[in-house]
Amino acid sequence: VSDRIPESVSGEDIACWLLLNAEVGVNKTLLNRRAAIKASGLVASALVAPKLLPGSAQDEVTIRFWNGGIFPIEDANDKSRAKEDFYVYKAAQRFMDANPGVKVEVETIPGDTDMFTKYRTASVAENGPDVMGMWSGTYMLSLKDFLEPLGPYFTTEERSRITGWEATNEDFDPDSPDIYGVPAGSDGVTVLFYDKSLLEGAGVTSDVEWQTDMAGFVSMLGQINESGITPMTLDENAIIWQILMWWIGQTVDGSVGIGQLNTGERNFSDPEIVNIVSEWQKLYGYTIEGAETMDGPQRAQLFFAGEAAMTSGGFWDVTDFRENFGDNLAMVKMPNFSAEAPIQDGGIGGPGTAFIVSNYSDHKDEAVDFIKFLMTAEEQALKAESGEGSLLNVTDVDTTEYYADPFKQLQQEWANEPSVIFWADNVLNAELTSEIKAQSQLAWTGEISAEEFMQRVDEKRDELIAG
Amino acid sequence: MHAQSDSHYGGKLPLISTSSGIADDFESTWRQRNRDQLIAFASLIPAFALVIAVVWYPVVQTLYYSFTDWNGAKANWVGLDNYEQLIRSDDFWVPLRTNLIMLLSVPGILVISLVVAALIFERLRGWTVFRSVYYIPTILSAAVVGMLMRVMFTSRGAVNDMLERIGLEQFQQDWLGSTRTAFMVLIFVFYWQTLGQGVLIFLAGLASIPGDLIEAAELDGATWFQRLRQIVVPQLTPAIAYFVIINAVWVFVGLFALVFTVTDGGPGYSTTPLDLMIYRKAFEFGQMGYASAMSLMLFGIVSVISIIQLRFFDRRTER
Repeated sequence: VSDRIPESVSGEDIACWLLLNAEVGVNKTLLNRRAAIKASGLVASALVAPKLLPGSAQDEVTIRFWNGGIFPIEDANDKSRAKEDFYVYKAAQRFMDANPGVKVEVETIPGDTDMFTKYRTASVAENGPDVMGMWSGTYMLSLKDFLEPLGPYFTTEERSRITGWEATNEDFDPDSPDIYGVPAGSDGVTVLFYDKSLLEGAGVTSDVEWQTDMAGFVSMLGQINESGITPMTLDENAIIWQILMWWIGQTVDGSVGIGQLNTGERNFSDPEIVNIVSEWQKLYGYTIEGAETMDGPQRAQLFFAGEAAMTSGGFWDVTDFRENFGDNLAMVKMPNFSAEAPIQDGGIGGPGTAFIVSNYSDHKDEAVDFIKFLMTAEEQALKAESGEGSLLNVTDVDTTEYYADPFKQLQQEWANEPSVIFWADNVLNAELTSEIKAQSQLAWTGEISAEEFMQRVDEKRDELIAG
Repeated sequence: MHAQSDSHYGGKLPLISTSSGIADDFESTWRQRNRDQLIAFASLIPAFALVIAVVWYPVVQTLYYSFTDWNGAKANWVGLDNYEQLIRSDDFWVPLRTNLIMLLSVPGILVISLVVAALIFERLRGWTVFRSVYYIPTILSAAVVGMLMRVMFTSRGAVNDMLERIGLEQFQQDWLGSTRTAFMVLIFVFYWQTLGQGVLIFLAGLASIPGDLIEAAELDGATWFQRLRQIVVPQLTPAIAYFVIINAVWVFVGLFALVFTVTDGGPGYSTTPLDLMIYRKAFEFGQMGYASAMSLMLFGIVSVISIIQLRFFDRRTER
């Protein structure tokens, strides 16, 4: 029977037709009970059958994709741009075109730690997304109880062309089979941006001299200060995760050392680290006040307004900064804390985002298909061409063809250097991350000393381990 | 009554029929009363069911989860571990300090509200404008007020800008960057938003004070402050009790929106109140069992404070 039913006819159409005919039958036979029972059975079958019939309208599956800020849906320079013009919506449409019967609903949620709160609360009620793009590492793994293990869904070949798998499992192992996400892209490396004209005006002409160590950096900041310009504008995340953690990370030998700080094999209150924090506190005097509570857009506005000569950021800032400064924009790696540190000339970055699938989703296969679609070479090339979203983390797309801005290309190159240290906040326990951020606000303004800051972090870490 | 009844029945008392009538009346009344009671109970059922579903069920469930390590997905029985950890850790005491500091600020807004209400009551010039101006912040959402204040008090915000313009650069601050000034901002916002409510409550109370009492005091030569202290305040005890109790409870259970939007609990955790910490533990770190224990501790604290205040004001009112 199913072969003879046209695809355009839905289950409800069949049920209505049967009901009408049954009604006629009942009237004719003056409430013939047998006829009524038969009709009911047919109606029930008609309602159930379409779900089994291929290609009918009832087959449509809707998957909800939560975009945790990893794809932009707003253009700071063109507020009139429709959301359908952004890469993520176009990609979802292409996926739907390629997979008739599957509908993707894109919902964008803030790209900060609130995304985890939203995901957690929705997941407790099991009404969260089928698939989501979120921050990777411990942020993502703290939600492990709601995540579908994705190892069985990916072949070795599929995994081999994508980099950054270490950020999706608890062992921080790129080859681990126990993955809970798919790395969504690379964050490149965090850097310093500056306005060339302001630095030149202050007599700072070389990029290299002040990058060797902390003393040179502070000296250069002093030189800018003397010219009457505030040297830096930073935000609440930059001061800690982009600057301090780079200096600590390069001193403790990268992610391995940061992992040891997390497990208690090393202490934050080691004199070597306390010394780094003490030096970091000196930056306060060279930065626009309020950095410890300032958000990213606010510090960008101050930078655009010429209130400060430099700021820290990443590839995500390149487009807006270029728009505002043109050729006057310079981008350099973070200065080294010391010439003796085991890791030199790098920065914080790496595959900071991942796609996940909720373990309570009714459409896990379709959700995984959507992830695989987004990670295809064709889609990655289109993403690079759009200039939206993170840098690429696939090995089969040549980005030089797509990135028009040399700084983006440079970011893509730097991202692959071994001196890049993976985001410390994606390595440390989520609650310890929160503690470090909270205490850093007090340490930055000098309300607590470097020793006290690090001791408090150690105490919290020990409490978490004991708990 | 009996004489009238006798004459009504023409001297013949229909004893049997009367007793039967009384029995009928009684039965009818009893049935009516039963029916009324049934209707009354039936009417109460929806509200009662709703209260059980949305208040008591969650309370009982929270009590249960406070003895588990529930993370939203799994729950194992841990006994009193959550409570022990709470007592030992700063997770409870540091936020409690924030609530207590805010509690200490309640008498300040009480006095300000009383004085402003008394001035408006005496129809000071422009009193109608003041009445509206003071009440407007009360009708704004805490989130809106919080965002507004956060923008105003940033290092490059309107407050520092204004201080610079009027030549008071030396008072410019990173208002939200230090514990002391962050509390000042929070208390300022709390006062600003609560003043309207206080004035309204006290104006209603003042309207009930007999005018001749105040006039007599005036004739006896009582000053404005003497009248306020000796007549107005004692007469306003119920209104003051109401204002103090709702605000004392509010500083324990209502600070969330204000703090979240103005300081986000910082710098550090120095302005984090208990309700914000409960939110962080439950929804940011997934420690829902632990957060449930914190919620019950908060419930206990608020109950104790409310009982103490009610008894205190009951005694004052009795005197």
